[in-house]
Amino acid sequence: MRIKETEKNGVVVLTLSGKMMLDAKSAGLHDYVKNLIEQGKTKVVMDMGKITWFGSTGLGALLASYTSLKDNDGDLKVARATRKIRSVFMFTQIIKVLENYDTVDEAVAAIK
Amino acid sequence: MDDNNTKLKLYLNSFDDLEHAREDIIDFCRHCSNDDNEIDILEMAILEATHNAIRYGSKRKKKSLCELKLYYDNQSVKAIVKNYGKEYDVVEKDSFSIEQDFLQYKNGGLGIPLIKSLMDSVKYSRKSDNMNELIIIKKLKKSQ
Repeated sequence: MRIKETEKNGVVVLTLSGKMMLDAKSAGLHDYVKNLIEQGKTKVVMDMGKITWFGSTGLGALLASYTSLKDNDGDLKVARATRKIRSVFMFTQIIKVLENYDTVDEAVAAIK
Repeated sequence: MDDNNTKLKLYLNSFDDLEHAREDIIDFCRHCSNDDNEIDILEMAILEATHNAIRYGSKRKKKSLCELKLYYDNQSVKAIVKNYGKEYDVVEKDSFSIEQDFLQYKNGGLGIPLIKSLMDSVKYSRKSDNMNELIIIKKLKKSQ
């Protein structure tokens, strides 16, 4: 999995691409977010439109990132999640806490 | 479900093998259902189970790290995933709840809870010779 970082209106946008499966880089997403928090960046949008394979490690990394950001008065929104990822969000009921938006701009605008 | 209805049988030794087999698994899921969401759910659960079996499997003298068998009988889809290695009987106690502390999953352990949330039945059994067998079943919408 690759991570590209950009910033929009004070919100960090992480564009994720590739496979979010059982590998160290997927698990490393949480470390990446913790590093952002140390820099005082606590508002994050994850653009998941280029994720080709999503598994439990990716899900765990998302949940851990969400919790760390919330614990630091931040927020996490997801943008452009593929249909498969949205299905996982729905079946696991994660959709109750992790909102997905059709575009990055909408997700950035929704960040508190 | 009659085990004679075998539709797909795969022996996998690496993540690359699974990557190559992915299209076969997706094709199988498409053969079982016309519903895109159902196909997605089946694919993700089967891939997750197989991926875990390869990751934690031990080859030893066996011919493969993981054996995957897929069955379809017009009512449901059944996947049997076998590997050889450490016992991982977590099926009964692990169920995902959004109310639980998310951080407990930061280092992994979400595989079985994820599969349980996607499928209708998940059963694990420990066989002789250090073999693990995971059986996951999804009832198809068209049969309900």
